[in-house]
Amino acid sequence: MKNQQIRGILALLIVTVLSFGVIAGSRALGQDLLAAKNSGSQGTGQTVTEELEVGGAEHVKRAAKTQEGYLVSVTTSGYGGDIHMDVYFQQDKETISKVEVTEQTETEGVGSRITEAEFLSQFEGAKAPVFLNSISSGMQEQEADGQEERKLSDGTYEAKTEEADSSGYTDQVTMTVKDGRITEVTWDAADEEGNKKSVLSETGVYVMTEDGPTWKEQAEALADAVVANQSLGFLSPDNQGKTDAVSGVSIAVTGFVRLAQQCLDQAAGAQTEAAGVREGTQAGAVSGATISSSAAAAGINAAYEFLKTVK
Amino acid sequence: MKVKYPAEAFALSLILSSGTMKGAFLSGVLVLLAVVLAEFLKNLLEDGIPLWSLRLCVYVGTGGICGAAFYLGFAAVGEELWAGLWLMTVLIGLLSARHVLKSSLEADYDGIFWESAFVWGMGILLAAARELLAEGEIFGYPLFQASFQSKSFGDVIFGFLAAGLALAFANAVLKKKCTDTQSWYLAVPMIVFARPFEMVSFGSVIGAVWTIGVSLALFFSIKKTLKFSRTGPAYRGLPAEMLSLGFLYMILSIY
Repeated sequence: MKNQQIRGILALLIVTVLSFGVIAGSRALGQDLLAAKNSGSQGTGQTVTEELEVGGAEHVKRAAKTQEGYLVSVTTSGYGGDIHMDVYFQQDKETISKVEVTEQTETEGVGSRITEAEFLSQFEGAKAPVFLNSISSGMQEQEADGQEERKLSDGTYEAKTEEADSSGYTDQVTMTVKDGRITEVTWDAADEEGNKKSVLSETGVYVMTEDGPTWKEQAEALADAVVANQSLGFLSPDNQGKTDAVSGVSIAVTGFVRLAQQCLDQAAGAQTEAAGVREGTQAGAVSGATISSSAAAAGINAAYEFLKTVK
Repeated sequence: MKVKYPAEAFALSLILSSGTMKGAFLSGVLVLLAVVLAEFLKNLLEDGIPLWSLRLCVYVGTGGICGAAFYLGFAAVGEELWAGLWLMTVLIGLLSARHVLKSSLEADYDGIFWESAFVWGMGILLAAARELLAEGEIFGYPLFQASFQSKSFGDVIFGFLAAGLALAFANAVLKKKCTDTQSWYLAVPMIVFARPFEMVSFGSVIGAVWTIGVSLALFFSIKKTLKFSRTGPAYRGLPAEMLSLGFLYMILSIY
């Protein structure tokens, strides 16, 4: 009887010690597994040290502190669906270490090129927020609004795109400044054979809709509005590059805005150095993929805005 | 006929991890591991040691190893269990041990596996439905997004409902009843760790005591009333109580 009691105590001791040993071992092994999983899934070798509460932050799905800085996973709406990205920041919460597009369904060969190193590498080491060259942003609007304060030199200024767009047209904007004011703006585009889009739209060769205004009429309305407003800020193109600011204009205007801005910069003697004094970083969009590129930039900026709230 | 599967352990595992199909899949395996381990320990030790030691050995061994297995299992899929949740997984082991010690399973592993497979399968199906309704995903793979999807389907409320339905469906197929089960062992820790509502007016301690007290009192009241209800045999006992707790959480979470 006494032996059985002793055996009972011994058995309980052994089971308890073994159980606690297994628990301690599993915790140590589990921590290693989690660390390996975190670094493996990130692909950057950065180990997550602390998960951050994202609450109701817009576009932000996950955020964490890493050994080198911060990781923010964001989702934005692209052309073909949601674009999921991991944005890595340095400790200053401003300098971007790396951007990875983890999932996207953009058009193959066009929007999907936002996953290519050529597009993503331009953000490495850049300071957030980022602005795309052809996309309107708060900063661009501010700059355009500030145009009235800049002195414009009289003369005629021209700006044209270096490469043809996906339809084969090269845009050109001409701006005339007299007595420090914009007096005339023309916007046209030419195909590879030199045929002007304004002429083609008038003769019925370049047709957008059967009933609506022609491309030429819309381009003229846009140019007149710039002359009337003496600035570009009022245009505020949306993510699809369109504006509601000018009645009857339904064409994408981002190309025009970019070229007109170049003309204004020339007139102000500032050329394109203005980009250098902006807060943040100017980056190039993927050609022909304005929506996808702007969604990627919006994701990076959403990550940056979220990090600004982290203490 | 009494169930051979550990109903309380399965119910708790489904409440905690049926938000995703992966979670339900993993926790089902670990509950099976726990109940088999408990039965093995019981059969191994019962001839050589007194009953008090046998019970303690089975409880300590199963609880500890179940907690360790859950921690490792979830770490393997990249999820870290926080302290409260880890204690719950130890409780799953203790509930498995309780089931083995109270039932006379007599090393009928076939019976345990056969019945557990049904509950596990039902749990996985309901978990897949919850994941789809909450995230638009199944097993972590995105399927589609729709306006009716809501993160609320991933909440503990639907965990209770999924647990109750999975047990009831399995009982209906197996023609078994969840008699001799004790829902307090699940309800109390769940109400303490995942309170259905918060009260901030009188400070955190009084608020916590109040919310826990009110929830337990209401659940007690429901349990008393359920004795007089005409539920089907498959729903009687633990399944109906889990469903009731789900609805109770749903109502209290409004406040």
